[in-house]
Amino acid sequence: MSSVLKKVPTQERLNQARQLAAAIFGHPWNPECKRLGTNILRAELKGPELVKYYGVNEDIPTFKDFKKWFPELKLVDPRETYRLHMIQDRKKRNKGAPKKKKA
Amino acid sequence: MPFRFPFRFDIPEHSYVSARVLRDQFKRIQYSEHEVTRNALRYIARNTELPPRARLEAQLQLTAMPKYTSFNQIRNRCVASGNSKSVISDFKLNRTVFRDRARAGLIPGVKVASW
Repeated sequence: MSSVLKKVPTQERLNQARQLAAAIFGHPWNPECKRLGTNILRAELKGPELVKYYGVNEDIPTFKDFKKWFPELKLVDPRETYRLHMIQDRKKRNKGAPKKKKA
Repeated sequence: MPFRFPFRFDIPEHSYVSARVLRDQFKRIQYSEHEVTRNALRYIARNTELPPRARLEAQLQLTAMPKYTSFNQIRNRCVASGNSKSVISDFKLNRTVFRDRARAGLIPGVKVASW
């Protein structure tokens, strides 16, 4: 008496089907899980993002750029004047940067 | 004054600049320049199907490359203070700078929690 159910396909046959499916859908076929290092080649390059971390210089103009473009406006950067003022202030209290050594 | 890095690069204009920030920027640029070479060598070294001699050679070449071309030399630093510790990566800010700015309402969408 034969069963109505079909016999379960062998493991080999199943693997063949899987391989065919992988070939059709462009999936990698690596049943032995060999270390082929393809993940290194597949990964996106990180460099272009990493370089942008501290900002891209060309993205926005700086105060210096405006000063260069419009010298007739005689723009003064308040942050720069504050910095210079602080340096002068420190020098008055003898807390300034040490003098350069003369060769 | 001579440029103190082996290769010339643009100094970042839109972030706080200190010697350490510059060093980090230098490493970032070097890493991105050598990334393809490194990946190729890494691929050869990690591929178990290739002859062991080629893999060893690739690994030796990788280790012979300057340290500043390696990824793990890069450290995210605070964009506003140059600090390398407690940097909140979403804002690229050190925790104290983040707190000051958030309290001053300078960071859009961030406010003190209260319920």
